[in-house]
Amino acid sequence: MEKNNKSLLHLSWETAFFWEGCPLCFLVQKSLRSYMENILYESVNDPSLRKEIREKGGFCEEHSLQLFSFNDLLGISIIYEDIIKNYTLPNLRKKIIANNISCIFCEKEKEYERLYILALEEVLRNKDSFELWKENAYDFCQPHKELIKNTAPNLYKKIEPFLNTKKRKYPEYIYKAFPWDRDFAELFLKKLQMMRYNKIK
Amino acid sequence: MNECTICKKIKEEKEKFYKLLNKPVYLCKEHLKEALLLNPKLYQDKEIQKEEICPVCQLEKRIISYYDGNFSDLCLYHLKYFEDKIPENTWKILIKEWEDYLKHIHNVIESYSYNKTPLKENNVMEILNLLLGTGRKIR
Repeated sequence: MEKNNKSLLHLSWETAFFWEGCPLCFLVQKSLRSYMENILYESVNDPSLRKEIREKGGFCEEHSLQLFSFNDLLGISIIYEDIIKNYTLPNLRKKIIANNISCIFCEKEKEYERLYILALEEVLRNKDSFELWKENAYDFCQPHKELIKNTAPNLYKKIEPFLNTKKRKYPEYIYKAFPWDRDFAELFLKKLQMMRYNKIK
Repeated sequence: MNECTICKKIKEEKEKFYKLLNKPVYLCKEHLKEALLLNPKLYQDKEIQKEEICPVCQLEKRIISYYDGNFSDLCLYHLKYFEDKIPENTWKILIKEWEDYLKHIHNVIESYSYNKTPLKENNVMEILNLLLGTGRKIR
């Protein structure tokens, strides 16, 4: 789907340039929260997803806590009943206290980071988008700067000269954004719409 | 349902630590998030240099290393530290406990069935705290 010949990814990036923090953190957290919401409301009984969660021993601590923030007791209970019944208890019977092996949300987060970084290379080829980024966007957080450097070195070379003058949001600049425990994107997007509407008026 | 003894102690000590902080110190991401909840203005837009040692991580490790109580009073996260010291009897208690927790979660799910009322009083979060060690988190 395209709007004015810009892809949805392109438009997402342009929106992220107005976020008061690392724009990549914004996009990744927004997408991850949607993914979690989708799992809880639509895919909790999906056999292949449940198998994957079981085999990986549940989720990491950070993403477990983020999942709890949805306050979906039924969805969470269904998932954890499966984990306790088919992973925790069988291991306890073998005198093993089983840890989480890997987390589907950590994996998804890495996927989103890569997707958005590769899209950014394309986005910043557009002169207007590049100016928009230069003028509005906050600096990338340190971990994401490193990731951009490794994933898309040409992109990093292009943006590096402008990074030192950009605003930074602390303390997230050091660590990446904290996992969102609510939908910050929704409020932000409404605020942005209001700003654009007032500008047109 | 009992709280994990170590989680409880860690949470108490952390709260004291964060409330007494009067200048920003380096903390790891997990602990910085907690500090921000109790002391938000301390870290707002302040540049902190990343260091190797988080004092709150050290505090948690100390509390775990000094524990000499009953293993059956611990969550699975903290029990992992003592896995090779757990006596046979405690394994049996643990298995029975977790079978009971499983039944409880199952009942909670069942209570969402058509023409039933979801259980208002449920201990699902407490059970998950015992599973994951999240009882030690300030949130």
